[in-house]
This record gives sequence, structure tokens and C-alpha cells, in this order.
Amino acid sequence: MKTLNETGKILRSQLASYGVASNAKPTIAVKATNASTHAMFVAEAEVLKSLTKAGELIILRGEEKEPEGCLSGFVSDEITVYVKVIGLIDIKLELARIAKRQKQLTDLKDKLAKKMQAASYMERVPEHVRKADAEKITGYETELATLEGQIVTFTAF
Amino acid sequence: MNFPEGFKPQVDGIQSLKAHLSLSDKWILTRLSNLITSTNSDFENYKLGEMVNNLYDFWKKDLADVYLEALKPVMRSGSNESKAAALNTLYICLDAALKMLHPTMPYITEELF
Repeated sequence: MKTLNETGKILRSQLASYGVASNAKPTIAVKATNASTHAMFVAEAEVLKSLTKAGELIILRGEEKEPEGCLSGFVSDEITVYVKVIGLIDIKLELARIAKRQKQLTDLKDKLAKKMQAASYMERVPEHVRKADAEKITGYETELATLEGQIVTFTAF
Repeated sequence: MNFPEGFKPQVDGIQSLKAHLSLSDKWILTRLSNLITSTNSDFENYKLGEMVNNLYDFWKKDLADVYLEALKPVMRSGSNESKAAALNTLYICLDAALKMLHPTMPYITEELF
């Protein structure tokens, strides 16, 4: 339920950031690479649909392709969400939002990478913190790659 | 969404409906159980601010924003058993959360109870 709530929250904020009207009933897709997470989404599809006020909800496996004209949102390494945006949003505003987020992520990633490259990092930082830092870097890289994909999608519209 | 006319909560709570509880029902009951523990502890330790914040979060973020939304598809197209499980879960949550809110909001909770 935590995953379902988190996914609903990300989708709602994604829709809010696009300025989508609450009665627009957008088409939404959720891609889960993990089999058990995918099964949970299939079982709880109606709940997620109600939480996001979606008109249509498509649950995808890792290898399946999202519908045309979608913008993605990042939930975790295993879960990506998509909102069909054609006819729903202002593309210029969205490109500006992506550029801002890219800058934030690049700054965060560079700062963390610099910290990890410090000579005393391996000696002074406990293992669980090092592991969490490595996961953060992977998360930033995944989200940056997702944003790159979004720019390509947008410029194609 | 209203309780149906003449709704009577199960005498045994949700014991006889356990098999029909959805993921959302189980989740909200877990949240309620955690809230009861924290409210008792906060009240005994005079942490009234924290207690009220936790109650607010439960009513607004868990019950209203998530659980009531999750109930809609069940009430629209669920089986009679899953509807009964959901309604009894909601009844238990409202009943317990009103009681916990009563020390800090005595008049309105008494009116609603």
C-alpha cells in the first residue's frame, strides 16, 4: 500500500504540475519491472485509478512500451509512471520545468560525487552511508536519463 | 458516500469479514492501530500537540485523501462481502478516531458521534 500511495502521490503531483484540470480524466500508465509489484498494481488498478482520478489506467510490464504521447514520472528504480499529455498541457512550460529539474539533479549529483571522491571518504564514512550514497547517485542518473527521454518526446510533438 | 439506510455494524468488528478485507482496508486498520498506540502514549506524556497532529494526519491524509478514494471502486462494483468489509472498516475507523479526538474537540465530536 505504501508503494501504491507513493505512486498515486507522484502521479497527482505530476498532473498538478502540468496544470491538468481535476475533471480531465487523463490516460495514465504505470510500468513496473518487478513481477510482484506489477501483480500488485494489476490487483489494485481500480484503487489507483480512483486515487489519481484517471480516465484510463494501463499497467505495463518492464519490457512493454508506453502509449504514444506520454510524459514519464519517476517513482523508483522499479516503477515509472506515464501521463498521456497530448491535448492536455503547455509544452513550453513543461520544457522549462524539465530544464530546472535537470539543473537541480546535476547539482545534487555533482555535489555528492565530489563528496564521494574525497580522500577520507572510504575511511571516515560508515558502510551503510556509502551504500545509501551510491543508491542516491543511481537514482539521480536514472531520473536524468528519464528527463532526457522526456525532452526528446516533447521536441517530437 | 453514505452508510446505507439501517446499516448495523458487525457485532464482532471485522472478525467474520477478515477474508474479504482489501489491501486498503488492511492498510487503514494498521494506520488506525498505530494511531491508537501513539495517541495513548502522547496523552499520557502530555504531548498534546503531537497527538493532535497525528489525529489530523489520520483524518485528512489517510482516511479522507486515500481510504475514502480507495473505497469508491469497491462501493461501485465490489461483491456484497467486500462492501460489508469496507463499510465495517470505515465504521471502526470513524468510531475510534472520533473517540480519540473527543478530549481535544469535545463539542463537535459529541455532536457527530
